[in-house]
Amino acid sequence: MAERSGSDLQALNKRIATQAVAAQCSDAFAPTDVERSIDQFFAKDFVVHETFPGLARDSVGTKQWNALIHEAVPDYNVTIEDQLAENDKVVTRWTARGTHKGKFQGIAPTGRQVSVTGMTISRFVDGKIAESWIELDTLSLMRQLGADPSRDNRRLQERGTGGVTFNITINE
Amino acid sequence: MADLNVADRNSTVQNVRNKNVQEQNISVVRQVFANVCNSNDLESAHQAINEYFAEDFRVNRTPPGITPTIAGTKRWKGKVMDAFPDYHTEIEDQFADGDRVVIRWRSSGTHLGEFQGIAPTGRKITVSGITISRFADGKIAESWVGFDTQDLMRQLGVVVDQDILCSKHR
Repeated sequence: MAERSGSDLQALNKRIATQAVAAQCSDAFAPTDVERSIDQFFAKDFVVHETFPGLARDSVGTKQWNALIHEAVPDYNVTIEDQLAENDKVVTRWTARGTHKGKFQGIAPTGRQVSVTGMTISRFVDGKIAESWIELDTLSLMRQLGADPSRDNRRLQERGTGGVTFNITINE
Repeated sequence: MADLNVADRNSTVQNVRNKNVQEQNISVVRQVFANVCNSNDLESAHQAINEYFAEDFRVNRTPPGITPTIAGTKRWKGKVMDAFPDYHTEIEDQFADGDRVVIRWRSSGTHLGEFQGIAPTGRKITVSGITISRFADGKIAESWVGFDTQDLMRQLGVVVDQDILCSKHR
């Protein structure tokens, strides 16, 4: 019996994780609705690991991130590819897609369609997400936006180990 | 009533059986981390890959020039050993659901050999990631790896200058 109630809880956590994704990525929602949904699905002391540089690792940073995404990629949407749960954790494997129509991480709008895959592990406490670990390949995203920091490796070798080298290729 | 009890008992037996398979799958993944990722011996790492992975194994993403197969996995192991001789991966979290196992990991090492065209920098790097492995007949048939290549590149001194990007696009 304990086994069954455990799997019920996991199913519920999966559902909440899905709703949290849906609420954040629907372009039908105004940013204020997204803010409200973050308060609804995330615990007050929510912590996120491995976020984008310059963003706080809490629900405030998550709200900022959502505002940035909605501005940069107004048609942003996420497909859930797979979802697994055990005890208090849910892992979601997802693909995010959209059109780059606003400034993103310093890159002016390119009008390009972008698609990135990633994974999120969410830890639940009392039906809310208390902690998340997010892994996505931002290099793949930057490449799709026309920036490639790793293509011109020869220049890096010439510079040696000392300084930081900017290797940028803009694909027209 | 008797029927219900039989059904309940059967479902409990099935649950226990599933749990055992999941524990076995987790144990295989832990052996991969110990005997492949953290092995200092290329030949024994290759043998371990043959043992734990299905012949038609596929992975969702690979570095440039690496095939998403057993052969690619072996080749990649050799490249990582050459580039980061002290490479080590820690398992930070693990769980199983159905035929899949999730591992959250953290790898570190010192960049002492050529890596993907980048000459040795002597820098210490640490990257984190998540790997989902799907099992078929006790072997890993498919993997999905989530990790941030840009974070690794930044630590190796390769970064995108966003000001340059902006001015180019203006």
